[in-house]
Amino acid sequence: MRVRVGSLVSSGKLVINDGYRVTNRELGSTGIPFVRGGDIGDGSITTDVVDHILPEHRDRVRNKLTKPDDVAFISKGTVGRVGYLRPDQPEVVFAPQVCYWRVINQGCIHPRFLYYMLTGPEFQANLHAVKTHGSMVADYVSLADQHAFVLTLPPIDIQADIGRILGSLDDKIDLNRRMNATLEAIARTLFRSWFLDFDPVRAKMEGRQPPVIDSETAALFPSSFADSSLGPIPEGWAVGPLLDQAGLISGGTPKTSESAYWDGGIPWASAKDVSQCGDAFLINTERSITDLGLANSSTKIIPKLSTVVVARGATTGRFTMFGGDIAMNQTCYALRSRTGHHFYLNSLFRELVDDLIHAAHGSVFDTITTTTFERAKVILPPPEVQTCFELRVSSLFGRVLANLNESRTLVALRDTLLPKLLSGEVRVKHAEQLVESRP
Amino acid sequence: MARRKATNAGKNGSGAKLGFEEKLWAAADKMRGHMDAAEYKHVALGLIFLKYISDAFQERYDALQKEPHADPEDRDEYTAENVFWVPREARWKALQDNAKQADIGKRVDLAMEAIEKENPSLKGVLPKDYARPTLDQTRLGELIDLIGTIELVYREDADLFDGKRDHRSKDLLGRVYEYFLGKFASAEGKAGGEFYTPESVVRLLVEMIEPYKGRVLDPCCGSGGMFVQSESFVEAHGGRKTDLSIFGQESNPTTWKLCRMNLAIRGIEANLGQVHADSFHNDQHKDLRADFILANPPFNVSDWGGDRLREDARWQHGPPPAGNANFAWVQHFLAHLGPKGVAGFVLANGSMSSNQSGEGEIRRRIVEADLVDCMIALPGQLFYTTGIPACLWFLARNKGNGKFRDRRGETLFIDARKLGHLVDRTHRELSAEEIARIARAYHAWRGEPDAGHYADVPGFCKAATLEEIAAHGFVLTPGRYVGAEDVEDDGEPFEVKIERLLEKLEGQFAECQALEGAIRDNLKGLGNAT
Repeated sequence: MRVRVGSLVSSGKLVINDGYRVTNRELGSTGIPFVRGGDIGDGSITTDVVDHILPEHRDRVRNKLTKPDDVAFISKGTVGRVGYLRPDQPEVVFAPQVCYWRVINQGCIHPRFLYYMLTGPEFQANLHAVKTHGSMVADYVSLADQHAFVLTLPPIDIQADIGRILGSLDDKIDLNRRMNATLEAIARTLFRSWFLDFDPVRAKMEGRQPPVIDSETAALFPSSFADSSLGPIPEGWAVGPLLDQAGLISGGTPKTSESAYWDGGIPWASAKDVSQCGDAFLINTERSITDLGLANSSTKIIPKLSTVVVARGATTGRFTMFGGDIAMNQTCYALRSRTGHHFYLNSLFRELVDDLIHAAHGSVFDTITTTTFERAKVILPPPEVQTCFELRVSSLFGRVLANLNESRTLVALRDTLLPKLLSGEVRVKHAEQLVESRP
Repeated sequence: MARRKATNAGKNGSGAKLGFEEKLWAAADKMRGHMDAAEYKHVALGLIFLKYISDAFQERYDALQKEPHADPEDRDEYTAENVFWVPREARWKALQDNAKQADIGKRVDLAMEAIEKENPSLKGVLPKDYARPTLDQTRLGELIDLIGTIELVYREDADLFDGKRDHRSKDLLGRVYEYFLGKFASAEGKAGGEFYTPESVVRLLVEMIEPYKGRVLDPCCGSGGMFVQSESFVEAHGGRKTDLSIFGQESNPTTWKLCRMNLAIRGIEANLGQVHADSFHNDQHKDLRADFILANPPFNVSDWGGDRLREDARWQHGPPPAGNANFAWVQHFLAHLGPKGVAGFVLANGSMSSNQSGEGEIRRRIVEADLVDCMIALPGQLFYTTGIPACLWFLARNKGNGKFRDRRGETLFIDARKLGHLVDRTHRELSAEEIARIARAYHAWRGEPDAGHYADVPGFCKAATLEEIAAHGFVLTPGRYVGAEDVEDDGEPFEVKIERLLEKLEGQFAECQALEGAIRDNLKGLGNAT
């Protein structure tokens, strides 16, 4: 059914509204989250934001309140990015650059389907057609423009199926994200307990059984402390240079003017790839190079599981682990464990990086240099303790990487299915499925 | 750190907003048409000045009229009270009555001339080119009408203010002047910062060195913000204006005039030298040894004429490079520092770590002479001139002079880079609490009785010895000394936390299986459309 958006609104099935023109004095650290365009990501909306509409102004923003199940998109600026406010998220108020659509009659429009429809080609083409292009002013699509859009709305049961199919993929992607946070927190908690707080040593010193670990592991820890240049450390442990533990590898960029060097089969990470990778592993790079490019430049293949850190510029100190063999730009340094304890090294680096950035505080921009690494001293637990830690966390990190790879596949699957489902080219065999899923 | 509300910042700062400046600025700015902000600044500020001295005069005039046997036209009655004598034709009312006349510019010029003639201390200071053909006379008239309303606004909102009337109105105009200065600095962008140091930076400098009493010098004083804040510091601490003797110097002629007007409005007496002049080549206060030096010299000036000054008594710690004036300024300040003097000044971050052209050597010698009292790393975006972060230097001639704790061989490092809040997209400000926190650390370290006990705070402040500084190669960047902030411990014991996380993980594994099943089922239902 082809339908004009304005008629959905006038018949009370859909509400369209824009954000709230907030004044500074209405903002504070408590109240209703005030969400800006930048907080709308790829499908998700960040509601854990700094600015809030203060509770005393709640009445003023009442008709701008956005509720779970609403779909929002940027209508001014980088027009088009869409987010879905999930049922477990709070009510928010959007900035004026953001519009939201709310389903009133769920018998006519399925809310999650609506979200997918707004990310789909038909709606995006509508946006693209009316937004102002290339002039001095920011791209903009008005509420009136939106009312004039014409959309294809399948019957409600088809909508529900599409919403459920794509929704289950997105739910799994979201679960993977949450599970990875848990897995990383476990690894970090264990590292801090063993190597920063020395919980097992403390317990043994006090004659207690070290918490949570088995007696075999506990036997690896001493029961007293000794002084060191880094403060008290477990007896028998040492302090030494970071670079005794890890080799430092630098990168490079093949000549960009040489097209034969680029777009090949070797992923090549820029500082942007590394700094914008919010995950424990980088598995995907924006650009890639050819064997020829690799041979004719100073860039090298950095082996999988190396820890890579941005060394220059505004994002100095952001780091990640390479989830595969990846070549790298010269703005980054890679640390490669000399003993194969890649996850131990990565965990160690996480606790060390703030100090490195502080030491790097330079004249204009913070810069980490080889000297910064050369000077860094770390506590060196005996190899068997490192090995024990490595064994325990490698399955955790392994699952994190597997989840990231799975999510990448799920995204590809979703993006392939979405236009086909919306256009009806691929259809859900609705009746058949009903029969199948009956117990 | 959480973004703070702009209004709160205003309330807490001494630059409390009156509520109408913004309106006044918007209205005044609208009138400027195609004029450059730098040029328009002198038009608007000159008129505000005229309005100020005329109001002050009128007040005294009204008072004299009520006094029996007094002659309101007796100029001695005004000079005795530190009020400028304003001749009849220069009084604001006379100008405002004629604001719509085509020759209003000429009248303003004549008024300025008449005031200068009657008040020798203002000679050569006031702008006198309001009749120039490029200045739209209609707009000028509108601007005069607008500035004329400042007093009216004060009356309508009279309840908002308490205290004596003369004090209030003077302050009101002073604040409007200060607000406009700041706005012009912002509007002019890069060039505007040269005559104006953001208020929160000046306040931090003043709160740090506490100029209660004595001689204050700023050899690159711009529009005089350091002096205004120093005076308000003294007044806030119960002192009198006369407790401070003020010495300044400024090389830019128009800025020099701006400064004199700014100080006249505040009723601050200052020795700004005979003429506007360059501090390096024509020092106006050669023999002065100041108790306090406050300054914000221009960053990294490369054409300061250093090649003509290779030999100079001021370069006690080595000749500064001809290509960068930073360490020429540092040593100029040191040369003017009295036996118990303290200097606080702004420099570009490079000054803390540079090793080019002998700068590292000069810095080493200054450290070894035990002159560096405190270093502060500031957050970025505080200045109008540049987004590059800057730092504050505090030098003390004698750290063991008995005024404070004997802290010879020690230097305090403060890393304030994480402080401040954005007031607009590109400008940051320090709040009153943040300024107090920084100053308190310094005062506690100096051993001032009211400041409490000093302790190093990882990530914020650290008292370091000369040996430690030497071990860092005489690099003074606070980040190297204060280290990283202690990561906040969530307080959850390890065994509790790991148990909770493992439980959560089990739940997610289960959810995982259910979802995998759902996806399989869902995808099974897909087929070709037929």
